[in-house]
Amino acid sequence: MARMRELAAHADPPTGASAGLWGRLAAHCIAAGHAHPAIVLLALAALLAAALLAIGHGLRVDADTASLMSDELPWRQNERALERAFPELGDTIVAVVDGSPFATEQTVERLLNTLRAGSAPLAAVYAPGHGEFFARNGWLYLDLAGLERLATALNTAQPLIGRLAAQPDLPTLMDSLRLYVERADEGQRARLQPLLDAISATVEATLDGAAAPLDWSLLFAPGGERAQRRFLILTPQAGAHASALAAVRAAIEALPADSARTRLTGKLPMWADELDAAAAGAWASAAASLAFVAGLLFLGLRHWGLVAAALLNLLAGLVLTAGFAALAVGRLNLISLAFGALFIGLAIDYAVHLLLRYRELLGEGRSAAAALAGAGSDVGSALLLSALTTAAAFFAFVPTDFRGVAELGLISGAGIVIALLTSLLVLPALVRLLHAAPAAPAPAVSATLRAIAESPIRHRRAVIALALAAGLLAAGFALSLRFSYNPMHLKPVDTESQRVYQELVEGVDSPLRAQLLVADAEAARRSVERLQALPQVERALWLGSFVPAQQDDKLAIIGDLAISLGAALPERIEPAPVDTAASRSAIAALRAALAERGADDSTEARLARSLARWLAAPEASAAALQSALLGGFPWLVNRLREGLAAAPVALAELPDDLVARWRSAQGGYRIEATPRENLDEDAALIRFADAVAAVEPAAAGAPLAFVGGARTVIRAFVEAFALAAVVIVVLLAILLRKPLDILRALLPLVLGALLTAGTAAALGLQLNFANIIALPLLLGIGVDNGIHVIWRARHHGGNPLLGSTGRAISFSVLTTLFSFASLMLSPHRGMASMGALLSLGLGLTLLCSLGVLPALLPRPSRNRQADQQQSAS
Amino acid sequence: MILRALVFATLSVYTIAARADTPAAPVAQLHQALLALPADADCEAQIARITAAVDGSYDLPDIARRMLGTHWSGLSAEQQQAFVARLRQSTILQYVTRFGRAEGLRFSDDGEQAQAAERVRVDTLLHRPNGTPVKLQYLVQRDDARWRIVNVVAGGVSDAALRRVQYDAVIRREGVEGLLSLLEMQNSELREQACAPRRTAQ
Repeated sequence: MARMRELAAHADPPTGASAGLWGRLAAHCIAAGHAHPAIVLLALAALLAAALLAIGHGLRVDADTASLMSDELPWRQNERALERAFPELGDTIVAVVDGSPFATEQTVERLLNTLRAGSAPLAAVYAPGHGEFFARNGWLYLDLAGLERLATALNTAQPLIGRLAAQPDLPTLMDSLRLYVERADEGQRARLQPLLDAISATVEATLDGAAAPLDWSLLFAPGGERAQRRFLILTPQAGAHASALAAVRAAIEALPADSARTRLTGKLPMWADELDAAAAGAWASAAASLAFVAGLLFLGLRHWGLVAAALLNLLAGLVLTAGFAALAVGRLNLISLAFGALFIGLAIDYAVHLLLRYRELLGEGRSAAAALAGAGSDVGSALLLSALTTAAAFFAFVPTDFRGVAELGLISGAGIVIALLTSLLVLPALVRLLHAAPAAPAPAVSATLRAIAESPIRHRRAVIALALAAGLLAAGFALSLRFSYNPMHLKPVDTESQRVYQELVEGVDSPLRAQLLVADAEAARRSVERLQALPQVERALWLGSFVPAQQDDKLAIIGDLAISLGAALPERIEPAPVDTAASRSAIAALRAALAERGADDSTEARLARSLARWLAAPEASAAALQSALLGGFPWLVNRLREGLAAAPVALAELPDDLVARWRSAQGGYRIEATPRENLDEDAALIRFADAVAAVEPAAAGAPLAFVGGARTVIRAFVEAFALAAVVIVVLLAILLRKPLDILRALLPLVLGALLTAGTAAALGLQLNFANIIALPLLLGIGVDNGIHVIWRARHHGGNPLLGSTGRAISFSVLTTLFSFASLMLSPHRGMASMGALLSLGLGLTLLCSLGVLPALLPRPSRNRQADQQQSAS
Repeated sequence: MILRALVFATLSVYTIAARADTPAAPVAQLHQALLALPADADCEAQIARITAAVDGSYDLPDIARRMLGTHWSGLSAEQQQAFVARLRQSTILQYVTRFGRAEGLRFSDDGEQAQAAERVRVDTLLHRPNGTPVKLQYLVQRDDARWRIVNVVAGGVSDAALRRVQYDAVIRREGVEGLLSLLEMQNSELREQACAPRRTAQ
């Protein structure tokens, strides 16, 4: 007990012992700010106005992940060459239309009409495989076996098609079906079933008052593979991304009910969904974390005026930093967007350290002005040193190729300097205005807290051993920490664009394709050969791939079909009159023929029941049924006529809109390679990208951008950390001088980093493009905390945790921790992982600074403290 | 009777000669022969008459080749010849069974429609004494300056499509030889039907 009291007495010695040059400078600044609040705040107001003006004029958000990378990188140059050659392939909206051939074709047609006629700001509207050319030559793009199956199916259906073409009415349909049912062998019977099932459904739907017209395109799907997927690729006009997306969404909303399912994906909808998700709840989360920060500040400062001063100071610094960003960079990318969060986390620290020391000194009976200046001279050096090291850590990213973080580094580094300046000049002025009353004495440190705070010093050996063991263990785990190469994994999961993307990425329509620009057709042919030979490549395409293979054989089949089937197809189908009596008797005859065949659960029995129900229904209308069953028939005849008109296709005959996407205006050819594996797996992604890059060094495309980007990021971080480490050590050497203290300051940093990496790896948390920005922040905060603790210990002796320093570190880290933990709730996976890594890292760094570092400090020497006390008095 | 036949034959020859290079020529030739059938003495005479007409108006090798599609190239030369011969027989005998005893028939033109280069559809109507007219559409194709029939569509039902699907199924099930013997069997049945005593038939 006696020892406790002793410690308490020595815990917070008087100030001014060894402020040093930096401390004196800080004290002067603070005194000036406190003395002339009006001048300081007027100057600030002018600066803020200028900053806001700059933000309004020159700060835009750029969501393009590609622009996060330096344009000087070789893979970025490949990408930009392709973008220049094919501008309409860049930022696109992709509408994915799924349904039967009839429904998809009709839906694509409807969308094309709306989007081409409307005022949607689209530079290009492209529907691959749609249009007159493909209506005529589409069958040439089936493989030979598929075309043969189709021909057999159509020949089988010919009697039905031919009779209906001559007389498209219910009696003809029902009689033809009856003949089929009566004469069909097993093979024909199986082929007939889809049609009978569909007719059953249409009859039932008609009776139920639903509109479900018979989809005649089922005759094109002999194997039952009716589902067809069509794409609409839309390129917005420059600068009209949002309004184009809105117009496309409106066009889809306006589609009639019988349209095929249409969903959006592609770069722009994914960005939009990503930004939406990133913004979703951002305000609530910001408000919550602000409330937390304010509450924590109040716990520490015990005065709302001081809390307000700290927050206003923070806000001013934030606006000035954004103004700097507008002037120096002009844009915020997805990563530098986080400067706000980083700024709040770091900049509040300076105010917390100053104000807590200020309160401590006030509690010792000093005047407000003296306490502020005292706080400045006491913690000024530590603040300056920590600001310099943090800024250095950020500036270290500026020269790297990872432009996203390079810009973040520039903005945040400048933000740190701004935060230090506002804390030394603006904060005193705000304190003067908002903190008139002298504060209550500093709260006494409770026995429990004191015991906790003492434990690292008391159990020095145990703590050091434990830290060493934990560090080693963490290092072991840290080796398995991986960087996630696929930025798609950062996007929010539960959005339409992401779901469609996930569906596509598994198949041959995977958007994760490699691309290549070559000079001429000969080079294109050779490249396609090289790429096609790779086991990782499913399919390599160039313009020439769109010239159908085996055309002679296919045209022969189509020619035969033109004779066997085409002869009976009229140019126009005239609607036939409705003959109710003949319809009813034909339906009754078909029902009777069906009833003789098939078990109860057979297709035939089902249709027989549907027809019986129709015959018995008083509301049954032959006109309605004829229109439902035969309304889509003319479409079938038109498609058949078009398909039978297929002619040999050479390169020169390919449609212009297709050619424009594969041959540039300058005559270069684009090549596309689709992966064999699902590139959602990082290992497969890397295999594909490396295999393609090995044979085609000029290749670009998403997989190469992901892998190239990840490697750029990893390299950037290694470079930046090496640079930051050197700068930090140099700064520490200048300011701390003693080699042991330099090591002590670095220790929480290294141990915290190891523990963070190890724990993250153990928890399965991967590093990625978003959360990697946690690392510079942890670097900055980790080194700050070390400096503050050492400074306190060196200049005030005693347990550094028991003074304002321990509280300041705890409070500043906790405020930051709370604001970042709230990010974990974000639906945006990148944001959430950033929140998780930051929270984890900050918690562990705090533990190292407060729990381990004091154990490494020299034992407080009684004599030295006594000397200091004497010299002070 | 003889005079009538003579006049008729002369007229026919005249008509055919006058329209030899038109798409309708082979159709007219076939129709003339069909209408003349009931007047013939016996089924052998009828078969001879229709054989001449079919050989003159149909492009049977072309029809046979198309009918077997991708199977065709797998047939030996003998099998190909045998198939053409049996298809020819089948066509002839079907005409004899259907038209041999049908009196009071009449054909009328119903227009022509170009289908492709060198391919025309000749539409005709077959009028029966009682019953609605049947639409008979002939697809004719020019080969070596002569127009020849390559498909017949009766009431919307295409002969080429029907046979193609049937033959394809048989070849897949029983092979080419299976198809050839099936045709052989069908042809002998048709012949029996065609040459059955007149009174018992119909």
